[in-house]
Amino acid sequence: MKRSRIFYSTTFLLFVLAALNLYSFKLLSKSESPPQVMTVKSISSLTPGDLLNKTTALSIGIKGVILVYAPGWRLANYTVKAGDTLMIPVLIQFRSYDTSIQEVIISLSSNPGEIEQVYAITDANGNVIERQTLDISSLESYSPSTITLQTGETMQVTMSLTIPQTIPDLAFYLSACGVKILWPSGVTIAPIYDFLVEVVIVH
Amino acid sequence: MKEVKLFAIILAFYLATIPNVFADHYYVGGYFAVSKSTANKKVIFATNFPNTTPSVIPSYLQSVLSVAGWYSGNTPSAWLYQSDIELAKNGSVIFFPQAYYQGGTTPHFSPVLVGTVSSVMFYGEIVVQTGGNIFFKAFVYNTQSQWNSNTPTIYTYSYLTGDNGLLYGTETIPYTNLVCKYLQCGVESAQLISSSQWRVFQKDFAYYGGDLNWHYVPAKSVEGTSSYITWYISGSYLYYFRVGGLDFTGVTVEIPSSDNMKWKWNGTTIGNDFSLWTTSGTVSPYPTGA
Repeated sequence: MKRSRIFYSTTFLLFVLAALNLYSFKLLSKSESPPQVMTVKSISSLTPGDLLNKTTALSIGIKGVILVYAPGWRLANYTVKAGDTLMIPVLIQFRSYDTSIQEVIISLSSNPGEIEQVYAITDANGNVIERQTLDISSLESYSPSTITLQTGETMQVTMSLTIPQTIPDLAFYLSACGVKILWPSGVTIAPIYDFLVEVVIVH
Repeated sequence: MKEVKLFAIILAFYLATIPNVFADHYYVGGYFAVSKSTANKKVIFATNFPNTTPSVIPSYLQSVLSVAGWYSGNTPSAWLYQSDIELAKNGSVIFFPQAYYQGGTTPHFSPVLVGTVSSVMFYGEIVVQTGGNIFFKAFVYNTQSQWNSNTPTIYTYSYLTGDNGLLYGTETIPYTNLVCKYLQCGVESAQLISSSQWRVFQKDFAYYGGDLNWHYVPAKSVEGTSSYITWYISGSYLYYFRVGGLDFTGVTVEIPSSDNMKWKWNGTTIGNDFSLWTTSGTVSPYPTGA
């Protein structure tokens, strides 16, 4: 009899304590304690120069760069007739920042919608009656379209731009796009597009 | 427990003392000085470099639109998005959109040469689409003819971050007396360019509203040491982030009219919380479809 009284009172006490514990835990978890460590960080916007700097690039996980460029960076007056294909020589260079990456395989194929050119349809008096958009990236292609580069190697490829017959006279500046790293996989190798070509479409 | 706390504090101190490979940049900008609110999924700015001799720039002069993202409940997600138009020393202009999470980045985008110091205007737009895709668009008017006929070249890049929106206005960072400015538009450089031969013009600095109009509201200046733009709390740690990190001393701003800023060096530092304009209004960014 005495034993069972001790058992029941101990069980009751434990139950009360458990309930109290749960309640206090709930209270504690609700209370917001201020952070004990405060850290400020400055964000310096990246520039192409940061990607071309090996130390800086490696610090953000960039193992190398693919430089897409043309001598003099600014190519003037590439005139093409609507309906024809414009051919532009472009240089591609691979620079590895990681000694374990000596070779890269890249494909050169533009992503639709990356570069677009707006053009105006005008009436006989030259007034704009409508604007349409030309998806430049879907017209841009490269030959060869897949290349293998050793670190430090530069290769010339031909960028082609096929102009639809329906496009009116137009002048605009065009950049490149569409470098994709096929191999090695799982590492970040950053393309840098570093040229501009002036395209003039005539009829 | 005490030991764990002590270890955490020592670890945080150690991490804070690791040398930063990226040197802080000089920065000064403007921010919308109203209470925190949400943009209707997009923000915009326009910029160019009038009367600028690029050779005075040691490396790059950056015209930057910066905005904090949110994931839920209008609380900053710790994503920072930047539309960055960079003038290089050789006169080329690069579009380099950027996204930072909790202060860190692996470049999600490639820098693309899109224009020159003589280009008429560059528009940079940041858009959040349903599903958390962030779109960065640049509308480039390289010639007067392109400008006159409103026929820009458009560059579009996207990245999935999961954010649901963008913030503007200000809020005090919890547990501090620091003011976070969630939408900023300014100039940045790795070097202090103490030459009067550069200008950065910015206009149409705006957020998109629920009424489907682009809006500007009263704005003030902010220097790089105070340019807090987003923050997050993880356990007993509070992290907050600022643009650039250094004051762009010697740089001032002319305000030709509301929502127009012409940054230049003349030896006078504009400083913090200088009133840029006190009016609110709507703007119509030039590119069709922005």
